[in-house]
Amino acid sequence: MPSAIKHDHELKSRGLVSILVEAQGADAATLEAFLWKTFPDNDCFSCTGHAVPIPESAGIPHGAVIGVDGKLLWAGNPLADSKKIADLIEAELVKVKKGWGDSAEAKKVRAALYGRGDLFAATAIVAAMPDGESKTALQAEIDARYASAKNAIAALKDQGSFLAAHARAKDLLKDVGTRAEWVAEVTPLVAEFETPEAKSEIALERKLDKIVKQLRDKKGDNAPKALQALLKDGSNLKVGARAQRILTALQTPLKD
Amino acid sequence: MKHAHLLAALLLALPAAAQQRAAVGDKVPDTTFPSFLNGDGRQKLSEFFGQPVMIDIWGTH
Repeated sequence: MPSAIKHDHELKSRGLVSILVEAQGADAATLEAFLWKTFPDNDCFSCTGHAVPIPESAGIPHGAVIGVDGKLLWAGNPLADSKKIADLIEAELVKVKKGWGDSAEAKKVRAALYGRGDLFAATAIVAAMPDGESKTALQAEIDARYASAKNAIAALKDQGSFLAAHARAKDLLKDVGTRAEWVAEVTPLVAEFETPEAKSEIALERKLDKIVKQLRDKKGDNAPKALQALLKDGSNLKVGARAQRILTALQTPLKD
Repeated sequence: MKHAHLLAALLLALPAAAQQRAAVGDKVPDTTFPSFLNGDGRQKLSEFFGQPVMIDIWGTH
């Protein structure tokens, strides 16, 4: 766990995705309580009780590294193989940056798409390719990436992370370049953050962020009281709902 | 006959992940995770294509 969180902090910006799966039967509320109390600096995708389709293990911790192309690179005990895991991840992150594939075009498209997030450049390279399976497959990757980026903005707002959603929306507007149909779709997504409702959410989240920072710095003794005060004005907002979840997590006793 | 139907129903009820597991070098079968804390709307493993994924299976006890 701590090593996964460390990897996540160090390598997320280069493209690593870290997923924590609780496998001892905790429910979602217990998981949230455990993480806020024990690992408040955790930013990994975190869930409970999911059967990941990797080789079975007799115990935990157990883990896997999956490559940029979706292939299983390693599975086993992460405590026993930390150097191998670090090397495998590093090699995959080089692929994220430089691209990969069976042609120069595929490498260029993927370097633009996954390495730089440059949807416009990736689309231009694909547009210049001759028709065929490779072109169709790469265009599908671009379309999926664009849909995922748009979906992330809505999902982050829905879970009360307006600042992150706003940043993603601005990044996406930059990444789509001058492609008219994408600009027409993304511009309103960015503008939504200028509405009074969104500004209220963002103002509340700036206050919440200060409390979260105290928790992450392990100086959160007064966090429950601060969260209760914050909720007096913002309980009807999405950020308020997120603050309430954190407060509930902090107030949930952990089993021995 | 009744037992055969029961067995078929049980097999259908098994999660796909339990039926098919990747070995090293294989493409990992797609799977949909439960709701994530700290997520960004992506729930399927296939939605992370293009990025390396580190999965850590752990316990709270």
